[in-house]
Amino acid sequence: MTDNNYILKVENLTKIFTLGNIFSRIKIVAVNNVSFEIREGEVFTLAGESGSGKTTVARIILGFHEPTSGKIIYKGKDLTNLNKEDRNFFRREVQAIFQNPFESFNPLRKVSSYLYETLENFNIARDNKDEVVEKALRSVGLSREEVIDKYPTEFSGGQLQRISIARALITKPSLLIADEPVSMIDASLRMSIVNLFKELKEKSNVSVIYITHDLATAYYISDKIAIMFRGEIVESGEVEKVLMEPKHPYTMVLSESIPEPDPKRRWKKQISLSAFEEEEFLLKGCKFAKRCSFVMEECKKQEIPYFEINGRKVKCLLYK
Amino acid sequence: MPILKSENLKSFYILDIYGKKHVIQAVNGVSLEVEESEIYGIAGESGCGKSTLVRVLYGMIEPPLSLIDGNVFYKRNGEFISIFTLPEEELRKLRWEFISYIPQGSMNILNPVIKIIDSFWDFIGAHISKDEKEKMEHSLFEFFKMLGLPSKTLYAYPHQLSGGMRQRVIVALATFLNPKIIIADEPTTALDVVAQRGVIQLLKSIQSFLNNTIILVTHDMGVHATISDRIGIMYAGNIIEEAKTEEIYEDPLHPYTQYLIKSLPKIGDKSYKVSVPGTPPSLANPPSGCKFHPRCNYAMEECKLYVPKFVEVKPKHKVACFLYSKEVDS
Repeated sequence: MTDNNYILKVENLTKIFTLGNIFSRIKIVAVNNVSFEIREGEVFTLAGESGSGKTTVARIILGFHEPTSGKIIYKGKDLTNLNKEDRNFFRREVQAIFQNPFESFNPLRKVSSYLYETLENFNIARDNKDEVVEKALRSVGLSREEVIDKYPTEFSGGQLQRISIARALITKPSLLIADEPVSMIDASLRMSIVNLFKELKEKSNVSVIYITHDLATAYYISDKIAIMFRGEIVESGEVEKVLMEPKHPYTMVLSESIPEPDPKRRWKKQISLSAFEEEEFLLKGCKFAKRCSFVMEECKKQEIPYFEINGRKVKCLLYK
Repeated sequence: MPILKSENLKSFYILDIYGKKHVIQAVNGVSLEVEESEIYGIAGESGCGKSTLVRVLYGMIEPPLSLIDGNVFYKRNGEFISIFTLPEEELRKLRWEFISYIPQGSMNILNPVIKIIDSFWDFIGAHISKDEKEKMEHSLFEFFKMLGLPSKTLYAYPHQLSGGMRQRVIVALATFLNPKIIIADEPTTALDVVAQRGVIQLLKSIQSFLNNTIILVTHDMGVHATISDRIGIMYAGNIIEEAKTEEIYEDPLHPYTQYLIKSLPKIGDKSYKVSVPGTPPSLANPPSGCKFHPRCNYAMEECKLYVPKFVEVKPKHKVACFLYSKEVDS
């Protein structure tokens, strides 16, 4: 492995979607120059509001979208031009878990068939399939008897999400990409799923890309965090530092806006919201300039570079 | 002084599937009183009946949902009226003017091919005459200004607005006729934290300007902590604990509430959190006795047999649990 134990390296990733017809075209830069690295056994959170491009990044890594430019390097191999063998290896190594477990399973198919299909697709455990399935389900706190011969409607959302994690674990992946895995799960069961990721990281040294807008769970499980805003990473670094002492004005607003489960600490300040999302995407300089309380003239004119302060990167001219 | 109350409210979904009857006990004996100009929060996991409860409180009972027992009263002009004895026409007049309801996912109900303001005339047409329209338009602008919303959003199409702004416009429109009671069902669920804060602050400023009552349904305990005055915790079709917000967070009594509060992750706290053991009960076939007993660490023999009564064990703090009171609900 090159680049000492970086498992995934994303370099200057950009994705441009074109909207409209031949008469009027708008280019939306969904992901703009995004770079980050993930080490082995690290939980990396991509956080940001809806429309910030966090899911697009995940979809590009998984190969659902072609990047417009930029590189993704997984264990030393560039993902944009893989041969068949490497692609198979990558599909086995990197597994995805999606937001809504009720949508990821076909309601007319037995849930267990997904587990067995994964075994078949990757040619794992020809002889002792049941054993492997049992083991995967055990690791998420279920058993084969509970799952076999049942349809998705017979499970709760939390159970289904566990099963989709079990399915992902069958190929013994090194990297899990979890796109909002707990946003559909009830508050009372949410932590059990979050704890599962924590366990996987600690026991099996699996790396996780955790995509979420819930910063409280992000703080709970992750090591590193990157805050995305309108397609750009505005701040990244260790989760304690970024969320406890935010530097970028957007991160400040974000971390202040988390509704804390403590009635003694209610908000006092009013915040401003953007009315028209499209406008912000098309801004030239800093995309947060319209809502920022520290805005300067130069923020609106130029592309903002990253500045490094004690091991974290901040995209803001305040730290020039 | 309560402005809305319900007595032993029971409302079930009765489904007939291939001649087999399924009964889902979504609201099972709820008695509550909502005080004037307070924010009353209803919390609970999905499928516990909280959305059904507010629909019944709003008087929106359509098959397969049917009212089994109990009553809902609104206080209007100083006296309580039972909404189920009112003729349909009267009840319709109360809506938007006396009580308004912001259903779940309502930011997606706007007609995509007409401007926001035209959708608004559609909604409100029944309550105003044609001549009033011009005057209304002016006061609508004033109202938006007062709440700090950009008035150009009224002339935008829904797809041009961000989710948070769409939701805020909906909330503003639903409260424009100055209803006494606003029922908001998960108004912030699909939004990110910044937009969520915008909506919550809007609700709060509407309440402080117009001094009305808000019934807020959400599963997010963080939202409740920031806005609700009192909270009712729902579990399997019934309210199991009710107290002032501070009291719920500091001294939760019911074992379910205790789990719920303890499992909340906080920034700045990496200690291990556990969630409630087991899985939520099915309302089609709920457990006997106290419905939480299969998941409860303190379950006793009597919990399996009898339903605990919802009683006041501390001043203004009600709970339904045999650990605090041995009274049995008949």
